[in-house]
Amino acid sequence: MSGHHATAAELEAYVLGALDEGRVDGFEAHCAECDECARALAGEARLEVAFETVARRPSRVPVPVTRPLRAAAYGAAGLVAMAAAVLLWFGHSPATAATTGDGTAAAAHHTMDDGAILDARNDALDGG
Amino acid sequence: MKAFSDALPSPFFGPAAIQPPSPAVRLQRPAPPPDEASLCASALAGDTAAWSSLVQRHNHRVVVSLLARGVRIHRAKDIAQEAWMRLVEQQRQGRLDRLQLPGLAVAQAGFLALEAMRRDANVRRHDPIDEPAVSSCLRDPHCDAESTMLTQERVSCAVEVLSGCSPSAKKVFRLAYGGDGLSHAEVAQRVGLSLQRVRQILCEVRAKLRTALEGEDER
Repeated sequence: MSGHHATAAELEAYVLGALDEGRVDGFEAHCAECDECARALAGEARLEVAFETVARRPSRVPVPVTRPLRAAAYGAAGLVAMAAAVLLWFGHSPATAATTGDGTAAAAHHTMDDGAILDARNDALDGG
Repeated sequence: MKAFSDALPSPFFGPAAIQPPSPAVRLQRPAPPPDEASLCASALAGDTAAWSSLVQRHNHRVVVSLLARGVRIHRAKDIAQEAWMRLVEQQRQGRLDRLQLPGLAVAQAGFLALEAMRRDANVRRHDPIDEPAVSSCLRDPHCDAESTMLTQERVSCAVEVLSGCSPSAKKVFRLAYGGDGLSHAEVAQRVGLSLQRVRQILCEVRAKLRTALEGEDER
C-alpha cells in the first residue's frame, strides 16, 4: 500500500469505516507520508462531514403553492360578477313589474315611440 | 501517543478492547448489543465497559472529523484518543451531565486540535520535544476553514438531489448520517437489509451528492 497512491474507492471505504482491516495499517501509513493522499483523504473526510449536514436538513415536502395575487384577482372577479348579476336583476325587475301592473301605458308609449322612429326612417327613404 | 495509552486507566484502546471473544463465549447465544442510550447512561455512571463500547463505536467518526480539519492521520488518532480521555476524566469529576455522542467527542477533539495549533504557533519553544506540529497541518491552505465551508446553496442543492433518491436510499442515508451515531450494521438491522447492501446504497447516494457538494472545488 505504501508504494502506491490511495484510490478513490480506498479513500471512500476508509472514511466509511469499510476498508478491509488488513489494509487499514498500510493505508494509514501511506497517507501519513504522502501529501497528495493526505489531501485527498482530508477532502473525502470533509465530504463525510458535509453529508451529515445534508442528512440533518429537512427534506423538501411538496407544499401547495399559494399565489396571493392570483387569489386576489379571482376574488375580485367573483365580486364583479356578483355585482353585475345583482345589477342585471334589479335592472330587469321594473320592466317586468311595469308589464304586469299599471305600466301598460308606458309599454304603449314605447310602442308608439318605436312606430314614430320607423315612420321617420321610411320618410327619409322616400326622400321626404 | 504512548503517553495517552499509558495514562488510560481502562482498556479503552488497548488490545483487550479489540480482542475477539474466547471460544467459550462464542458458543453462547450472542446477547443483543446494548443501545446507545443505555450505553451512555452506564458510561455516565462510570461503567468502564460502556465507555469502551462507546469509544469503539464512535472513535472513527471523531478521527474523520479531525481529518476533515486537515489533521494528519496519526495525529488525528492521537487527538481523538486524548479527547476520549478528557471526557472520561470529566465524567469522573462529575462535570458531565449528559453524554451525546459522537457530537461531544467531536467537539472535544476539535477543541484539542485548535488548542494544539495555538500552542504550537505561540510558544513554540515550550512544545514538548516529541510533539508533532499540528499547526503545520492545520495551516495547510487546502484545509483552511474558508475553503472547507460549504455554501448554503450547495447544501440546498444536495438536499434536493437527496430528495430525488428512492425512499429506502433516503432512509438509509439519514439513519447513517443523521447524528444518532448508528453504525452501518445498526442501520442495516433497522431497515432490514444486509450490511453490504447498506454500504452499496451509501456509496450510490454519496456519488450523487458528491457532485452537488463539491461544485467548483473540483479542479
